[in-house]
Amino acid sequence: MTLVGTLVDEFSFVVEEGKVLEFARAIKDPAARYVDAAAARAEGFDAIPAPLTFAVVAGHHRDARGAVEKLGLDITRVVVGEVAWEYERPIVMGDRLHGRRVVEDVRTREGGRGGTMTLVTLLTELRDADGAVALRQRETLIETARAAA
Amino acid sequence: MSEPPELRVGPITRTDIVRFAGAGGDFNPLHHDDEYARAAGFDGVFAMGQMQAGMLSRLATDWLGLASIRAYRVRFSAMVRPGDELTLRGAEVGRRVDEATGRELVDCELEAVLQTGEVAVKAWVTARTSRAPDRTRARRPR
Repeated sequence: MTLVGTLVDEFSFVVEEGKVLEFARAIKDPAARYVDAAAARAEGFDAIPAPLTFAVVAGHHRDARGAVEKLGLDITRVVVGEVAWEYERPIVMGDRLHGRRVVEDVRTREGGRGGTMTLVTLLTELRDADGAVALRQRETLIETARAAA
Repeated sequence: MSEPPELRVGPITRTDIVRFAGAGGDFNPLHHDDEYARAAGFDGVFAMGQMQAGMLSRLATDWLGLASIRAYRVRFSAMVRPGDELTLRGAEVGRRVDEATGRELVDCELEAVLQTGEVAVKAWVTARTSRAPDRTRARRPR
């Protein structure tokens, strides 16, 4: 089953200008920093920065279904409860990021209608080309209790 | 400023969901394929939580400045479906000193609320009160 420390997946991607623009549009954020290098620099960034939740674009580079199966969870009963990000330094266009996602915690809880819920916390560390952690992402997956027969 | 101005988003459309799917790489059919969603027991497609989490993050970055934000956490609650409207709002809840750096931090809570009054996403943001990027964490030259 799901063991603390299990490596769930690894992935890499480059923070690209077009993707930052697409993501900003998709979250309906018209801020100039995402489209104009001068505006970004005026805010103190070295280059156009990525939006706050940009790390989710790792979805293009990872297999969500495969990860859930690897954890031994039933994908038809899994929802994401919470996601938390910690920012060590700004992520900007041109950054080459490498992510490793591991199981940080597993716990079970009695569900409201009987049965057992499983909560799995996954920690992803996104490191830059120098190996320094730029960003940490923690996701809490909830496998809801099996429906009563 | 202890509260940012409220933002209204929507009505959310299927196109919005598809745009976020393309941007974020979430091609789970629950979010774009009505037949699939109904077969799975839902009334139809619904937005991936990360879409409204991202929309809510804009409230934080407009208000506090992207460069100053140290942490952002979201909890997904009510579903967001095509036709829904979201009101984004937030408030400062406290200030403290980061023991590690000696800098002042501000903690805030945000919500994306549906037109029904249900909370779709709740979020917590921690930011430095100085808006400039933290240059004590020097970026090594590439």
